[in-house]
Amino acid sequence: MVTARVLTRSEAATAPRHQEGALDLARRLPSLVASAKELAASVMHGVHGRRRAGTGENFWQFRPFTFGEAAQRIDWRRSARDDRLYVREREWEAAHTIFLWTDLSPSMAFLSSMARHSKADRALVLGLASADLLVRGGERVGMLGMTRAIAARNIVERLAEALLIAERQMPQAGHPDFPADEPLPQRTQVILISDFLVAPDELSARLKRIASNGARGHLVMIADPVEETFPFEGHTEFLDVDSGALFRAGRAEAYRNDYVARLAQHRERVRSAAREAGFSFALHRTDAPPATALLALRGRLEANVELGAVA
Amino acid sequence: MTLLPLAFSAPLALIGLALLPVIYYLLRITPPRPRQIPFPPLKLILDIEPKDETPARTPWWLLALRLIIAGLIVLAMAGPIWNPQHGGASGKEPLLVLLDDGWPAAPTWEQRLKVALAQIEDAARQGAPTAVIAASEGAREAVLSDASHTAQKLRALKPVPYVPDRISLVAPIEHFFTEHPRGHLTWIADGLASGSARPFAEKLAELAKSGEVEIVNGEHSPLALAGAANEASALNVNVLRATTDGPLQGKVRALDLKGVPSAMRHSISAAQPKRKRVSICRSNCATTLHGWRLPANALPAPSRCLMSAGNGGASASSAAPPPMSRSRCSRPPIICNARCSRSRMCARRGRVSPIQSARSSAIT
Repeated sequence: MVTARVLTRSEAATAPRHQEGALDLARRLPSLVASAKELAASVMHGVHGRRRAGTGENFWQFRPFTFGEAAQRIDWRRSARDDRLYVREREWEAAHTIFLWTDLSPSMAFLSSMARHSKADRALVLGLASADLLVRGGERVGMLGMTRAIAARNIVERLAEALLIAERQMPQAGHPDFPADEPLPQRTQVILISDFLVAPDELSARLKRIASNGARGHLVMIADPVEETFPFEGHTEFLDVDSGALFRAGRAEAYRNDYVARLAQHRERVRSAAREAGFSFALHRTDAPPATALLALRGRLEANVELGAVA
Repeated sequence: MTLLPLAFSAPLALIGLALLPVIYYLLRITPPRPRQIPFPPLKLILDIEPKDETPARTPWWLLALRLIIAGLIVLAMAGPIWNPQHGGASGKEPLLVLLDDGWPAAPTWEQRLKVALAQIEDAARQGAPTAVIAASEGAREAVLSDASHTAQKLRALKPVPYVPDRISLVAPIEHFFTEHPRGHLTWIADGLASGSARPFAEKLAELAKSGEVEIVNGEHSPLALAGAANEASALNVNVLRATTDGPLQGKVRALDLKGVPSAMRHSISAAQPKRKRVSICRSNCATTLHGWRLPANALPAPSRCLMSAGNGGASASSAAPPPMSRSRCSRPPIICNARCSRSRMCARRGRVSPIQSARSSAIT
């Protein structure tokens, strides 16, 4: 007999266990990455060379001194070997800015007997762990609509603190099921972790607005196993978490095929909405270990970073 | 109820059993309560047309369990009494317990009290007043009272060392039946004819025309000793019993002049007659005073027997008397045929050997 419940507000609130979980997860990852060949080449994000001259640490090229430049830029050691003056140029290096948003709306505070963690728990742990991973790689991470991008070593604590403050500020309305959709600056990335049980058209419009200045992003769809398999039988009364609507099914098993078809359809539309806006899409079930989801997210972040660097 | 020893104090409540089919029908058509499950992706299927709305049926085992519970509740409300002592649907008619308290009742006295108490309690459960009279009380009036008083009086009774004449009880019983024509009478009889049992039983049958008379008898008739003959070689005594189904084994105890007992078991088989002669002789070595022994040579020569009483025509109840087993009597030994043997012993006292004045007793 499958049972499911909605967590209470205090159960669903951000708590130290999320920070611990996130840190634990993030600390475990490097070894995972090292074992994964395709990711081993660049375990840490590090500093992204822009492959052109600019401010940075690494040598890029020597170029001839042009008249009018400041004399202290001349590299005298190189110039002494020749009868021309040279300037040492360094590669332009810049850190990426990544914004994170986790859905904490009531529909996320859902836990069935087939999973060990609620969807909100998993989203928070995954989001905070990826933030820790990114900051250790030299990037700057912020909570979308809550904090600016920061690169502090204690990023998990900082972000959890921001979440707690935000929770206190909206005690009645609860969390929105979608982030504020202002356009993000170019070259920033956004990670959206949610169950995306929203209208796909609206989702598509919002994603397009976020990406309108050239930002890119990643969707991680969290699903409880119950939401995928619909293992209910018999006389069942379903309760919609967000709207409070009731749906009484005389024989719940009669709706299973329809539901599975509708769910596949919905996911396809979410996926195409993500694709149209240039976002990546991944699905994570709460009965799977979170490390796999984090590994996949990392790979996609990395690919996108490289893409951004080329562009 | 003839199959089971089961009676009901409120049999009308059994009509409730007729409701069971209705309960079955209601349970059958009422579906189990729906489970309520929060389900976030519900909006995906909210617009689906309701398809098979026939609700799931109640599982058969749940149905059976509920019906059994309902049936048991109805049975419990009917007030079942297991193994009713008092002949079933008796209403609130008073109960008179008549207890034989002569010496034959003494060995099984505790059993008799138990049976009487059970009857009184059973009557009290139905709200009937009760009374108890002992055979030795004579013509005293039976006073009806509640169960605790009657039980108190019953416990105060002790068996008497003779057989009281039951004819004197006819007057109070007659009075009882004139006041309560439908009353009940239970006679816990000792099973012997002495004490004018037969005329009394006939009188009872005559008195209890509309009432009910139940006679409870012992399982075995008592043993008695008679005809003790002091002879030169041995003290011979007759062991008597009313019927051949008396106790199979007993102990004959002989006492000498100083009251020192010397006892030996002697078995009496069911195939043997109602009377048996037991010879208690002095042992061949004269050194010890207590050397009594019982030889095995029994002399079956029936000359007198006690008549059986009890299962006479007065019994109107079909209830079988509960078996009463033998138990040891707390009273002093009783000598049957007392007057005769006592005078003979008096005449010979102080003149001859200790054997001649030895008392003999029967203790079952």
